[in-house]
Amino acid sequence: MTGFQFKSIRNNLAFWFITLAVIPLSINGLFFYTQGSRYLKEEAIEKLTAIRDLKVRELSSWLGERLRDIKTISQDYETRSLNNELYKIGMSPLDKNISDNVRKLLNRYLKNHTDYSELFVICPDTGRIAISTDISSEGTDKSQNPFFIQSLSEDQVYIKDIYYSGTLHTHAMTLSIPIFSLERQEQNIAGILVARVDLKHSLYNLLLSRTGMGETGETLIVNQDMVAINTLRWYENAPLNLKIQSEPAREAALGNTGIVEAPDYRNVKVLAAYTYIPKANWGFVAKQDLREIYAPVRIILLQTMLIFAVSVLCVYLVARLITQKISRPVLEMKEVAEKIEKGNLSIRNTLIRKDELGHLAGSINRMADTLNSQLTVLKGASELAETMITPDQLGEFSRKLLVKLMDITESNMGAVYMLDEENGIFKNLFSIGFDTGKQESFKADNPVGELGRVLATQSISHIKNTPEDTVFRFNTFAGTVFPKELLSIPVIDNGKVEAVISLARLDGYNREALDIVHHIWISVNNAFSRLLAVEKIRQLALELEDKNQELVAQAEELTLQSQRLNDQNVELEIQSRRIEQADRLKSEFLSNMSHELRTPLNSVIALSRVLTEQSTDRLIKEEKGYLKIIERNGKKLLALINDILDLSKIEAGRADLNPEKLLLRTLIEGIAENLEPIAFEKGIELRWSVPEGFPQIESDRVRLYQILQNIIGNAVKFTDTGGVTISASKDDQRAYIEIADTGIGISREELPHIFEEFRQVDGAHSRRYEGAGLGLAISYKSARIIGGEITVESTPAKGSKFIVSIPFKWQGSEEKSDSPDYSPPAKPIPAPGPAGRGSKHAAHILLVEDNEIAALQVKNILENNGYTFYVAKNGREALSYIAHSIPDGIILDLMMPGIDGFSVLEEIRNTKSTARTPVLILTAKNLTKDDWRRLKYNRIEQLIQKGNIDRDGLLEKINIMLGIQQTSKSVIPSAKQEREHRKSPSSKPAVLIIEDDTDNLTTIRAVLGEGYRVIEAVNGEEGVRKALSDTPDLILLDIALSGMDGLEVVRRIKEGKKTAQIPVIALTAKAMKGDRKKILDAGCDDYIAKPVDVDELRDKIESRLEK
Amino acid sequence: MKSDIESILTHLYEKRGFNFSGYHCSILRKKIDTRLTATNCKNSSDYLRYITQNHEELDRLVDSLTVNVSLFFRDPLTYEYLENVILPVISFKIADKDKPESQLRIWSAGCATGEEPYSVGILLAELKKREAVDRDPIIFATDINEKSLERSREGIFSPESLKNLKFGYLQKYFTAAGTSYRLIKEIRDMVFFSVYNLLDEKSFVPPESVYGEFNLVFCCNVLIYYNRKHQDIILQKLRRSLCGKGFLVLGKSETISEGFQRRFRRVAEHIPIYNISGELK
Repeated sequence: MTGFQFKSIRNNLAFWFITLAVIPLSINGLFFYTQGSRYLKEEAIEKLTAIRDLKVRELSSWLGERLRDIKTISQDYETRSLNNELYKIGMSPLDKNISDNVRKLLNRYLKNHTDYSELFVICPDTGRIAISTDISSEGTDKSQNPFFIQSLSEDQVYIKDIYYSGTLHTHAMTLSIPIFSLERQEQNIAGILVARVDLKHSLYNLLLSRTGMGETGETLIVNQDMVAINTLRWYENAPLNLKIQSEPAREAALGNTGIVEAPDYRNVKVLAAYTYIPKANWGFVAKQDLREIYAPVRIILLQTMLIFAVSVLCVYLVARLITQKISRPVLEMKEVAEKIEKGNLSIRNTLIRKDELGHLAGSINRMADTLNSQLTVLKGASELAETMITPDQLGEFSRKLLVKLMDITESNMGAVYMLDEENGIFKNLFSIGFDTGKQESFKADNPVGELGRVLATQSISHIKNTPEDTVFRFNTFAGTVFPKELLSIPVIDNGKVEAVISLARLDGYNREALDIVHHIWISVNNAFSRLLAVEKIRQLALELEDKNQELVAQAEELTLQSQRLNDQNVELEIQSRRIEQADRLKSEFLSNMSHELRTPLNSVIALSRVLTEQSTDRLIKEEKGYLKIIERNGKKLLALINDILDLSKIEAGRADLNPEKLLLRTLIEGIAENLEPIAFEKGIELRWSVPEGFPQIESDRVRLYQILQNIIGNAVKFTDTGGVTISASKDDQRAYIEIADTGIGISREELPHIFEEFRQVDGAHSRRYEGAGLGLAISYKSARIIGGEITVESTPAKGSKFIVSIPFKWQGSEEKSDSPDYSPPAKPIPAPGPAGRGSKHAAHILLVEDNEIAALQVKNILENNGYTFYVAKNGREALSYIAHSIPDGIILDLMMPGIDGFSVLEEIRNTKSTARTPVLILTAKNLTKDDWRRLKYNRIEQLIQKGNIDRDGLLEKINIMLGIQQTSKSVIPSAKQEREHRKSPSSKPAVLIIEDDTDNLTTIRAVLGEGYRVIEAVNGEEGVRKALSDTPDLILLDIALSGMDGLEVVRRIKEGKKTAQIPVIALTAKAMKGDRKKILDAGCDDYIAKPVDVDELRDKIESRLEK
Repeated sequence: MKSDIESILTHLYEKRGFNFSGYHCSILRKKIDTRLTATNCKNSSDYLRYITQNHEELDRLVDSLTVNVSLFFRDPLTYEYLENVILPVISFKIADKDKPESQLRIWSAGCATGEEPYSVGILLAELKKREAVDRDPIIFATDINEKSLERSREGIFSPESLKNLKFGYLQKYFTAAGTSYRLIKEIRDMVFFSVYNLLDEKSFVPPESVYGEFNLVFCCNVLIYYNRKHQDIILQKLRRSLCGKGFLVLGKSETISEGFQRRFRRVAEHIPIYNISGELK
């Protein structure tokens, strides 16, 4: 029985009992059943065979009788007496007699044999019935009947098989035989004797007798066509109507004999015995339903089953009885066990038996006892554990623990002793039930009595039979009682007994109590450890709190201090603000002062120069000398002012620095060549040498020139004999320029101060050697700001050696200046021919963008999409570009220094070749209404705000710009031609001077002299107006105009269609940092610093006009 | 008190065009309090009077509200991840198969004094030395404070801001300048600084960059100053500024607000780097 298990013993036993009982019963039943049915079948076969044979015999004998009858009649004398005459009408009385006799004979037969319905004689000549037992049928023509025809030809009895007779309206059978006349010897048929058989009273009767065939048995006859010819039990009107297809009928008709089990004509299973009756050519079947034959077997089966059922029931009852007897105690034990499992530990088995079950019950009971006891222990332990969880103070804990312990162990007395380390004793912390005063402390190092053992062994001690002198004594109303047993529990933390709990009981401790104590011992230790730790932490926390308070106090202090510091900072800030302001004021002052000082000085110098030049004839030599002095002193004063200004600029960090690549050789050569005439005059030698291939220096040209000029100039100045030698050397990083002279030298005392302001080595020298003494100070500071250094060695009266060191790589604070001048592209990109129009890849775009990085990005897009392009970094560059090339489209920034995008756009539209070139504005500018109007007026293609478009959008807009662009090309007129065209007819170039200081105006006019047509304007507005109306060839513009300032004026001029091309030279006294850039950005083509150097001014004007 | 702060902000907006109304209240209060102390004002209404008369103080207030300090490689883990995972992916054209652009576009939004964009610059310079990258990096760095940008361009940094810098990088990319260090030109030239207000409504990326399409955007410790509403405005802007596969780097303590969590997914646990898919490729 693998795979299936019974859920109860009872079912298990019952199953096997029943199984054992059922198997033999079943076999028995089956045996009886098969045997019985076989016997019955055999019996039935025997019976049916017998019935068949009997019936056949009966039939044969009946048929034989009939044949005999008819033969007898036909051979009767009377009958054979018949002759042919007989049948003639009007027969003789004799004949009539014969015929009557025959009739009588026939009637006799009919009377004696119930088997016939009619006997008659047919006349062989006429075929009509001559004599009949039924007179009414006499004369009936039977000549066509087979019995007549057959019988004429043979002398044997002819049996006409059962047929349906039309005359009789019933089934009939006839026997016929010829009657041979006695009269003649030859065969002479006197008539045909026919006997009609009454089937109902003969044959059918025979067959209907079904004796021994039970309820369902029957016999049947079939003719050769297997048609039934007798009436059937289950089929009305069967004869000649029912063709039987069943196997026995078929076999019988075929002439076989046998017995078979087969379905009959009703399709009911039957046992059929069949045979053949040759005389009549009939098949005969005797059959009986199998159901009926086997009916007795079924009864046997029923009986067997009944017996079977009764037996099973009996067996089950017995099995149940027995199994119950066995399983009941087991079940009872199971229930008990289950109840124990569910927690009912008091239940026990009540079974008392001597067999194994009895033992088992006993075992279970004992197990329950043990469990019960352990549970008590556990419960006690857990209750104790609970008391140990909550408290976090030692005292409370001890008390609760002791109370609980006493409760659980049913002690009468208890005490807790705690180690007091300071005093080396175990102090009684808490006790219950003691004789007052007896529960004293005891020494930790030398314990005696009951507790000594506990401390020594560090284990629970259980003392029975307590000595009389114990401290544990129990006072009752009946007197003092001594406890019988003592239980002492050491509490161990870190291997040291920290406390002892003692319990005492008047009677003995039971096992459970001891178990509980042992069980919880470790927990008690742990809880104690925890509490001790908590105690220590509490102590620490208190300390921390103290320290924290200290810290808070300190923090307060710090906050106070930081506030003070803060206040000081604010003070400092205020001061620094003042300093800033002062610094700014100083710068402004210097700037203003330089302007204010230099403007009048400028006039003095320039006019004295002009006077000198123009009035050679009118003035005497002495007066000319005065003029020279005026000019020289003016220049000296100017130089001094410039020096002061320069120094202050350097100090304020506002010096203009423009690092560029320089050739040292060229620089030194330039300076030396300038100084050579002086040296020659003084009779000293000036030598310079810079090695071939000396690398370029990246530095500020102006400053470096200033430094070297100053030092070399000084060297020449202070050398009277010998010479000055300039040489250059280098290391990896720096170039060293050495200027050695054989001059007066510098004393050791003076040497440290020579780079300070207003110091000349010898006060007396200053008169002799010109100069305010600012030169070296400026040089020194200039050198510092370009990353250079000046060192000096000197021996008085022997000479000095200055070494200027300059780094090759720019280290100054300013970024490299980008060249403000437009230089045409090295390879001008030819304007694309008309063939390239519309094709994206051939499209050429002009990108006007001053912002390098923005340009880089747009370039990136253009590049990636196959456009060619040219980048103009400012308006002027763009305009120069469109002067000789025509792009397919222009991307234009609006905010650019110098000529801004608006002006560029206007110029683009004003230029014939680009008037219809699509322009896409790409700007970050916040457009004003005015801006919009200007853009609209100048037909821009698109406007894109920088930072508000994505890459694809930008590309798409560029494509759209190029896609819808109209083709309109014309010859590009050159800018030069344009200008030629505009040029005034006057041969003298016209110069517009815009200057609000009339002195200056006069000065400049004087300097320009007769070679120019001078147009004057005294303020910005007038200047712009005159520029537009007169279209001069050149404009000189003072930047510091009151009202509309110079920068605005130049912007307006450059915006004007007609005036944009006019070169503008700015005149400015402003030389502060960034001014230069501002001026050029505003659109000025060049600038001249005030005070105006006459020669410089003339040079610049001329060179501009030549262009 | 609150209305005073509002008035101060309104005044600031009118005079200087800076709108700080999106700032966290506590930050505003703290910063204004500092200015109160510095200007010896007793309370905020006092201070309001002070700034209406003293325009320089207005600039100082703007400074204190906009100047923020930063460090090189401020969040080392983020930079490690950038160096080893993100940058090696986006430095190659193949990172965007559909549209291989030759520029690697990076934006440091709220760059303070430039430590952040320069840190990336250093990493990119290192990467370029190691591998044959085929994209040219172009780094835009923007801040609302012009003075910070000026300092950024100078590229001089105190040792304090270099404390997370690897010694090798210090040697390689800095030169001593007094007690400070100057970043070499090679790295300085990689970064383009411009003034930009992240709440600017006129544009969604800095005009300097013309169009957005950034592969990498930093916006570290900027969101923390703003309240949720304005954080969302900024996040929306950042979302638009990124190219399809672009990454966003936030500060360590910053999170993506709920509304944007489907648009920005972290690419790795514990690292505040996000993109749309949350996957690297």
